[in-house]
Amino acid sequence: MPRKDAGKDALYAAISRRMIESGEWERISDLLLKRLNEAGWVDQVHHESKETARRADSTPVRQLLEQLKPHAESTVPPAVRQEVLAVIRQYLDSQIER
Amino acid sequence: MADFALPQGCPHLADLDGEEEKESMLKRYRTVVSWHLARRHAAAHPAKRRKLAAPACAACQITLSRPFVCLQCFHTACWREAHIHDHLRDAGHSFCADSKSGAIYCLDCDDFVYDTSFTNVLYETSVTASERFTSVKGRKEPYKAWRPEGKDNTALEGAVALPCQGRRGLLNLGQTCFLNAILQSFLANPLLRNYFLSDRHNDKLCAAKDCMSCEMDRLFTEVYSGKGGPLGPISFLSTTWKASPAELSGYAQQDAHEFFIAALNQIHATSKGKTAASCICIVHTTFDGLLQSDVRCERCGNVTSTTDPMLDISLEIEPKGAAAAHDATLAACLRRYTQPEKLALNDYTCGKCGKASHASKRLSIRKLPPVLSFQFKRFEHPTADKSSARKVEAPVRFPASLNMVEFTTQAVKAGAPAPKGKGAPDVSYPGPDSLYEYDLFAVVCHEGSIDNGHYLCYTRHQDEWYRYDDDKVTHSTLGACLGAQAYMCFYVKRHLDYKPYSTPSYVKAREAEAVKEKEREREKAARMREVEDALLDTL
Repeated sequence: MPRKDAGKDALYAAISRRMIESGEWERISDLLLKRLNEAGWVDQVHHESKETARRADSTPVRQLLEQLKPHAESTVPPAVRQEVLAVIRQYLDSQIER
Repeated sequence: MADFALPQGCPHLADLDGEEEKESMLKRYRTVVSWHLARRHAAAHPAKRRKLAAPACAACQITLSRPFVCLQCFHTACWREAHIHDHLRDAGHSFCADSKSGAIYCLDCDDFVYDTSFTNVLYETSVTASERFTSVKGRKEPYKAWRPEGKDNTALEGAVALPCQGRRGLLNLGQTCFLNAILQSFLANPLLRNYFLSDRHNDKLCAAKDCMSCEMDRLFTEVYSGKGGPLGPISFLSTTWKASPAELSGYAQQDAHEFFIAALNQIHATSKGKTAASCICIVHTTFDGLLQSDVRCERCGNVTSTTDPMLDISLEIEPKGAAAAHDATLAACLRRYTQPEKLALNDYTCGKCGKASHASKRLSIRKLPPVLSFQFKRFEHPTADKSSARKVEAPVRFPASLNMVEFTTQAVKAGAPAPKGKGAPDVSYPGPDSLYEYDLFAVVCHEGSIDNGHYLCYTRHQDEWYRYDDDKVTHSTLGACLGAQAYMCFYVKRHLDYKPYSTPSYVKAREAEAVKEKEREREKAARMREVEDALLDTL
């Protein structure tokens, strides 16, 4: 692995640890889930997953996840994405130089 | 009796039934689940902000927000990079749990699996945790899992398992789709179903005439009898006509919501032990909530609060005076419903400063009912003239699961500006989410125009949706139900509150009356004997 990426990974690991320990991660996940639910995304993904699983005789769960992930990720409403990204950015800004 | 197949469980987990290994897995599972609940509580609780426990994946060292834990040795790893799978394979273990959802994964099945004893542990642990974290203590009876004992076991021995679902179409008796759609929503209502199927109002024992509760009892009996084919709700309709001759009789098209309210009132009126206030009848224990209205005087800041009982909530789809093109969601409607609203200058005279003043009124939900019903105001009647009525066609998006916390009085108060001179607002923690979560179980839809339309209903049994169009019943999907033009939708609380069992006063009165009656009979018999003895003596 190139050195630059290793540095990035270490930074990512440190930030995510800090976010989880402070409870910020949980709060942001809750916000994301709430917005996605109101936008209908949660129900849409639930519907698609269920109907996909129904069509196939028996699909192992990991295969099902692989299959559904790209579409689910691409249908996150832009407004929700922007709002949650802004919250994360704000948190990161508040953590730098302290 | 119709056969019904239980979903196939995991054979690997079933092999462990009765083994010590399973007991220790259940113990570990309880630890994992309670650990997660305690952490969630700490994260949500603003008063206790300290560092949270954050385990790392044993393989990649990344901190886990959602650790997966081996149920055979507590090894903790991540799902994303499949490090938990690596562990299971290397250690020869089979099962791990997702700490967040409590789901159990079996390596040999390569799937999430379900097992009653684990489900029970999950339920018990989460209910106990929510009780521990709730600020309102003492009002509720602590949760105790039901474990059959002596008498229950004897009763269970001879019992035959019956399917707990019934699906029958209802014949249209001449523009009666409004009735059919509402009846299907009643039939899918778990609280009404449990009440009537447990024989709490038996139509064979009830002497009342034109009794709506008897109609409900007969309807549930018929639909859950296991018989197929559609049903003609003839006596239900005729009882409705007799009960509300002015509003609902005749063959004209009727409003489903109007019928819903009329039917609830009639069921209440024919329930045993009904009272005018805080009634314990099935209608009020199921649908009754409390709405709070706070009127704030803009001049002196004085707030006058009143509460009103509510059986359902009627929501405007479009904001008054706004363009129709906007994204209407149930939550947006509810936010508008609980927004402060300016009252006209002459509408309000403050009780404190005694002057007519500008005031704002704000609604919030003081007490959430076990079953929450919403009506979307699709039919507008701007004037008394019938021809001016119009239908709002705009779709409204509503979720399969709904959290009501932000519309409660507690939350609305916490978000409002502090009353003058009282310092910081009292931001109290409203308690765990489980107190506010609701699941959708029925949707009544209206198709077509205002004077020539058709009602139908979607209802849910467990995770399957069915579409009821009068006598036609079809298997449907969540997507189809959520995409329909909803007129009313019904949610049931995910975790019901319970209080200590106490015999209702009307039952006590009846029992006391029975004891007295026996006493009187005994006295009468004793007197008769005395007379007979006296007679015998004289002979």
